[in-house]
Amino acid sequence: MYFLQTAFHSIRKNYLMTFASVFVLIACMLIIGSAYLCSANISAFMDELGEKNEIVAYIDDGVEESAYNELQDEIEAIDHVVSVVFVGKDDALAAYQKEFGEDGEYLSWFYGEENPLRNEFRIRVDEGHLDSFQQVVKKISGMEEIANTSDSQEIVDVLLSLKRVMDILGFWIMIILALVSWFIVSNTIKLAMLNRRHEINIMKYVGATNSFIRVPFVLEGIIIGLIAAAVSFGAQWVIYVYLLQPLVADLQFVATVPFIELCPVIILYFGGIGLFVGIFGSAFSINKYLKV
Amino acid sequence: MILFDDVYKSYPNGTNALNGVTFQIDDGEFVFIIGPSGAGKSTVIKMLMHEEVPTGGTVKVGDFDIKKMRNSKVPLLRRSMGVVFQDFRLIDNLTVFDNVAFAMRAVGCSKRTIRRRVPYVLGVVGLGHKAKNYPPELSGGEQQRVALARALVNNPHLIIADEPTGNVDPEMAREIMELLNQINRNGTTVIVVTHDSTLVNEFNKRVIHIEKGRIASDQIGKYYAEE
Repeated sequence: MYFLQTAFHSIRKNYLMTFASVFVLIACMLIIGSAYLCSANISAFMDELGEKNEIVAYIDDGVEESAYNELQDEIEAIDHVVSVVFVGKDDALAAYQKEFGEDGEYLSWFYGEENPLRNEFRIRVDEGHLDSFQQVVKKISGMEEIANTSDSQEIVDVLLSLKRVMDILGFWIMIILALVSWFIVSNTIKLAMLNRRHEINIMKYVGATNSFIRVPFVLEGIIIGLIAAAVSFGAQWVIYVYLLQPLVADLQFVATVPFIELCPVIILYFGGIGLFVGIFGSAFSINKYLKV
Repeated sequence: MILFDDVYKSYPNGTNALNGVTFQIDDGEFVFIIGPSGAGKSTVIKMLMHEEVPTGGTVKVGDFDIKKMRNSKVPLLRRSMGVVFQDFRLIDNLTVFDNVAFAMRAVGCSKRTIRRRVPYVLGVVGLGHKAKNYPPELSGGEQQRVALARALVNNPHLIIADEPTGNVDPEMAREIMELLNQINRNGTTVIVVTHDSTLVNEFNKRVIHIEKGRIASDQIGKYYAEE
């Protein structure tokens, strides 16, 4: 109780410096948190794409419809192909129309002869042999009757390299920011010590142990760290739900991960950073003043 | 018991503060340490508190050997003594009660003990009615008595007073000295470092006179006792 009182007293007395360190910590945490949220969303998106496991093979317009069955058998005969589903071009158009909702109404002009789409096969590969996915794609696109194919692998590759860059960048940003916040917090605590050096001096003379003197300052550091963590968590939530998610929602084709799913890691990150910087930032800055 | 045995202290800048000082103070004694500024009085006091360590010889305070003791034992050494400084060293934004209680909290006393002990000690130094005042509201003499209460509160075997009357008027000075004398009569060893020859002469105690880092004289009686 005495320790907490002392710590809060010091925070009040030092409010400007406390405010500065909380602010810097919040900034650091938000940057780290945002980097994590982006990275988490990219991986979620990649997983989703990977799960699709679907090759769309567009049938050349020159192929007679009577040949379709034979073509389907041919594709089914390829190793590891588990299913081949035919989708007529009108069905495909209807699916598009559905996806666009009300905006898709104008697509109804294109039914029949005007339909620019091609008839297609949707092909799934055996889950246990996804490593041969590319081989299957190659074989199918090599067929004379197939105009071209599309699959999500290319997007996955681009996202994968993006994620790799983000992870490396995020790691270094985190290290640098952690050092910056450490520096700021330890300076705040040093200032608090300076304000109380007279008291510390007297404490030393009446026989207080170093650890006894240190406790209020470490508490002060922890309080700063935890306040910053709490505020950052709130701010991160607002940024994500009210800023980032609506922004991404405009892109239509991507679904964002709900904040609830990501918040345990965010709490862990912010709380961990707050505690770590608070404890070590203060514990090390005190030593100099304890030599009396 | 305090023992200085052929103690030397030289600082890195070449000053020799102490040049072979030897004396012994038994439990329950009242001793004045006198001498001009720079004679080495402060160094003696600092060694008793382990603020300085001798470069030669032995200093013993009770069971503690100042030169050999581990740093982690220093708080224990300091708890066995109470120190009063010329500049009082009170915390201005704590009440008189809290200033005294501070010394008890610093050594981990319980709230209950503090609530019982502090008023008692404030009563001893005659400041029971000022418990809720802040140090700047008090006279120099009163502040010094608060400092004395703080030194006494943990029941030390030894009280060290470094120029306790330096910043208070002569009448207060006598009162403080009287208080120290009373504390001594109850069995506590008291060491007073002072310039005040009048007081020293009046109280007729053992006087250790240090000059240029040596003991110039050590006898019962007057300030500058005849050799």
